[in-house]
Amino acid sequence: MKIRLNPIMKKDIKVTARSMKMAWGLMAYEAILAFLFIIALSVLNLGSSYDYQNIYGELISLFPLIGIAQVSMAALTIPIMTASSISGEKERQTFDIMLTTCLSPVAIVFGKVFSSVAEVMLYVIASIPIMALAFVLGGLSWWTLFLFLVVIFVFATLAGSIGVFCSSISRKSIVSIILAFVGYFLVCFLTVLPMIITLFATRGDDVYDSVVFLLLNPIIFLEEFFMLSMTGESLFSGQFSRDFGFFGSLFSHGPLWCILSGVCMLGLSMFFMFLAAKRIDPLSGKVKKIARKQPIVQSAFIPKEVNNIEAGNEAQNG
Amino acid sequence: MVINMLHISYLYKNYGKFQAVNNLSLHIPKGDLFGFVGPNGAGKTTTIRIVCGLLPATAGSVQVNGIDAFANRKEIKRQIGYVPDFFGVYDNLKVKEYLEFYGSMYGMDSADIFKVADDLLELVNLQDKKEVYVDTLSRGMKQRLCVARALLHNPQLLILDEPSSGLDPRARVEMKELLMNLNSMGKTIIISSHILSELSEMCTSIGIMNKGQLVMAGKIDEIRDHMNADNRIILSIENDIEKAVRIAKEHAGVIVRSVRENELIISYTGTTLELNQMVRQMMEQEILLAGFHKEEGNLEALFMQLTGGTPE
Repeated sequence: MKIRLNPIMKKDIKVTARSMKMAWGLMAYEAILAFLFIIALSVLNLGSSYDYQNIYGELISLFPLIGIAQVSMAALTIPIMTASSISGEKERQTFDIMLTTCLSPVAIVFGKVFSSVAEVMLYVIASIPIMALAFVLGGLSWWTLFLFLVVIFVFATLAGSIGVFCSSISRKSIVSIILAFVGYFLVCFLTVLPMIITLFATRGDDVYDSVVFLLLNPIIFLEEFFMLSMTGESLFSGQFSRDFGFFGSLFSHGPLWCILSGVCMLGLSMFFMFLAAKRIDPLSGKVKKIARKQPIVQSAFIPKEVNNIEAGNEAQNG
Repeated sequence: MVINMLHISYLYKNYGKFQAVNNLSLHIPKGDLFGFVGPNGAGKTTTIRIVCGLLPATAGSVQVNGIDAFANRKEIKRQIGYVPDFFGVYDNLKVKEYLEFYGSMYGMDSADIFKVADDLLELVNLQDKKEVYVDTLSRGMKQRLCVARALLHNPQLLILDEPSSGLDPRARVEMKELLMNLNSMGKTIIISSHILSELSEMCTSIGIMNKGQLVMAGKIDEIRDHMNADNRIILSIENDIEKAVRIAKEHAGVIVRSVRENELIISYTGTTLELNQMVRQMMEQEILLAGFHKEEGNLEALFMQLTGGTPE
């Protein structure tokens, strides 16, 4: 069976890969990571004794540092890439043509999101040699590196879907980019808000099941992943002494939390993508059943205005 | 029996209280080259966008090749090739890749696309530009490439919205020849334009829209015959046009068609004697008659009469 790549994704990757912007972007990305790595290594060397075991042990902290740097750069670049995806097509006046093809709005949105995700993944994969130093020297497993790629993929998909959704709302790319950043903030804030409200309501005694919303929080997801990778323990283990509900108890099972959170965030991404598809579909829910209006008999060759003038004339002429 | 390629019935499109399309009914037979004419804001582009599925209609129905356009959108997309008035291109994409991209959006295989693309590029006279980046093409070339793109999936109906806008005279002629060539191959084409002379040369039928309504439609020859049938006379009046209108209306065989600033357009059904009497009476009543000529049935005159606008 022949696998057919989404045409938009294929075209976007091809067009992006050819541009100098991509080459410069990749170089800047790697340079920033390398710079951070060297700075961090220098700081670690200065603060360590000449015990090789100690130095290697501390090198493990390079992983979250480089990882968070990558996530931060992805968080900054994805809105710019995706938020201009649909609005950019509108500005370029290629969007209408796209909508008249057989590609469904959902496929258009998927293509846009995953072409951005693919670009981000390319940056991340290109940075593996730098990341690998933390693994080789710091003693982390290759499995952790693979999981990091999965985590970045989930994060990029969520960020990309928010960006494309914002792009579908606005006609201007700059407005879409601002909206996308606001969207990220809202997703991060609104998923923590129920827990904060519950904490205030119960005077800090209990958070109950309000923690379930944290499953959709990308920051908690990333923190949990790095915590697990580094220490093998959950971020919140030991933080809450009392029972805080079924979902809350997931905190003590870090891997399960991470898997559930990843699935939930992918679900949220799908939700944003379908919303975007609905937004860009010009006829979505708007095709009304037509009540046949009173047929107006109109001669094919006699203009209405002429008829009116003639009628008026005849009336005046008596 | 005439088979309609496009069948629009009682179409309405409202933007709030503004009626962009008002009770539009139109039938375009297979194989027609139909010219859609009208002043800016007449509703041509709105109608075209509704037919192409880019805008929802407020009411009405559209059938393309017998298929309900609102109920079978995917099938309709296969039936229509659309060339918008303004369109952009992608940087860093070559002509053949441009066609490959759009072909794949219609679910075509790369092999099929390249086979069809070669023929289409030859048809639009761009066969030597296959490896050229699209953004380096001239506007006329881009327009022809867009026509090739719209034909990739072999649509039954080709819709072009103002295809000649922004083109130089040579590119316009090339575009006209291309469209006439396509029409001779059996394609049904709808072309919206302001350039009436161009339309009258190539179209087999036209429809004139004004203020959201179709004010006239039919075969171009029949429209010309109709325009010439009513002996239309243009009287240029220098002073009291209202008095002239009154006098004209007193004569039984004379019909006042329209009144403009200093022009009175009439037609007469009776004899020329009746006409002579009317002119003599006007002169006796000191109406300054500066001009008197028979209006030839051309599209520009008809367009002006029906829309009150100025054709380009």
